[in-house]
Amino acid sequence: MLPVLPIFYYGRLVHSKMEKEIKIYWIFLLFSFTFQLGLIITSRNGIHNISASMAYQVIEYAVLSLLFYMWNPNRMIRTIILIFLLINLFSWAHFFTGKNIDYSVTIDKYLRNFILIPLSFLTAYKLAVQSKIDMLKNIKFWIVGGLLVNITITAFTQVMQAYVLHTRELKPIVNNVLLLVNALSAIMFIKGYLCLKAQMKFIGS
Amino acid sequence: MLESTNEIYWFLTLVVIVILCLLIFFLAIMVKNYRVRQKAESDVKDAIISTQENEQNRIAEDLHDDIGPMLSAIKLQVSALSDADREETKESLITIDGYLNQAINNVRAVARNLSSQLIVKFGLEQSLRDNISMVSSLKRVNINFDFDLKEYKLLASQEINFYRIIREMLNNSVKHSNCENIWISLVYNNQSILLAYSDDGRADEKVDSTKSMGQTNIRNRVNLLNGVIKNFSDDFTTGAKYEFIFPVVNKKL
Repeated sequence: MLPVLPIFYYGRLVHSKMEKEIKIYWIFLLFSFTFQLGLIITSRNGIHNISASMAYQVIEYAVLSLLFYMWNPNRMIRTIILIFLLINLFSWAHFFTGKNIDYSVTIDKYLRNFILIPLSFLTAYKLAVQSKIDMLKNIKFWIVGGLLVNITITAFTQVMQAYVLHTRELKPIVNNVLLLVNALSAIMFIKGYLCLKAQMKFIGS
Repeated sequence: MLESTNEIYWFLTLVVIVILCLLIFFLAIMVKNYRVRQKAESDVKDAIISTQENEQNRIAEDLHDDIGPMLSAIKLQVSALSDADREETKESLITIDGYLNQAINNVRAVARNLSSQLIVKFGLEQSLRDNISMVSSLKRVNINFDFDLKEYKLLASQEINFYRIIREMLNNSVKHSNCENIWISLVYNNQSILLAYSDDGRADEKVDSTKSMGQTNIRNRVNLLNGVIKNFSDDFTTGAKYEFIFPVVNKKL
C-alpha cells in the first residue's frame, strides 16, 4: 500500500496535463496497488481467489499491451503486440470456460514477461533517439524505465525461482528483491510525475 | 545446507548482473540521447544563424525598396527647388513632406519588425495588428485577424515567438502565394492556444519549401513553445494552411 499514496498524490498534481497513455498507466497503477492489497488481505485470511488473480493479470497485460501499442507506431511491432494481447485473452477465456489449469506453475505466465522485456528495451531506446529534451526530464523515460526495471528483474527472479533454483531458503530473498524492485519502480514513476510538474512551470506565468 | 547457500549466492550474483546490464543499457541510451540533443542544438544554432542572415537581408531589402526610393525622390525634389518659382516650391515642399512622412512610417515599421522590445512594449496583439495593417496596405491583401488571448498572460519570450511565427507565415504568403485573402486566428480554445493560418494562394509554381529556412524557423519556434503541429501545408498553388496547438498552464489575469 505504501507506494499508492505518493503515486496518487504526485500523479494528481499533474493529472490534467498527462498524455493519454501516461494517464491510463497512472489509473492502472492506482487500481493495481489497491487490487493487490485486496488479494493479499484475502489470502492472509485463507481465501485464495485464483479467478481474481487471473482477471488482474489479464488487465495488467492488456494495459501494458495498450501502452506499448501507443508508444510504437511501427506496424510489425503493433501486430506482435496485438497477437500477444490475443494470446492473453485466449488463455483467460480458456481458464474461465472451465479448463482449469494450474496457473501458478504454467510457464506462459513467465514467458509473457519475456515478450514485454524486448518491447520495453526497444521503447526506451526509441525514446532516447527521438527525445530532444534531456531523458532525465522526460516523464515517458521514467515510466518506461520503471516498467523495464520491474518487468526484467521480476521475470528473471520468478523464472530462477520456478525452474532453476529450488532452495526453500531462497523464497524470502526473492520476496525482498521483488519488494525492492516494486519500490524502485514506484520511485521512478513518481520522479516522472515530478518531471512533468517541473516542465509545466516553463509555460506561462 | 552448502548447496542452498551456493544457490543463494548464484541467485544474488545473477540479480546483480541483471541490474548491471540494465544500468549499462540506461547509460548507453543516455549517451545516445545526449548526442541526439547535441545534434538538435547544433541544428537550431545553424537555423538561428541563417535566420539572422535572412533577417539582415530582409532589412536591407526593406531599406532599399521602401526608404531608398523615397529619399531619392526627396533628393530630386530638393534639387529641382533651386530652379523653381514660389508656387512650384510650395508644391514641391508638400510632396517632400508626404515622402518624409512615408519614410518616417517605414523606418518605424522596420524598427518595430526588428525589435523584440517593441513587441513586449506594445503587446502581442497591437504588434501583430500594426504588422498586419502594414502588410495589408503595402501588398493590397485582405487580412482577417482573430485574436482572443486577452484573459491569459503570456511570457515575453512566448509573445515574441508567436509574433515571429505569424510574421514568417505572412511574409511567405505575400512573397510566394499571390493571395488576396489571409485568415489568422490566435485564440484560447479548450485549455490550449490554437494558432490557425490560411490563405487563398494561387501561385503559378509550387515552391519547394522543405528545406526553406523560414519553414525551419517556424517549426523551431513551435517546438520552443512546446506546440503540436496539426497542419503544415505550404502549397502556395492551392493556399497555405497551418494549424498549431500550444499547451497553456497560465493563470487567468
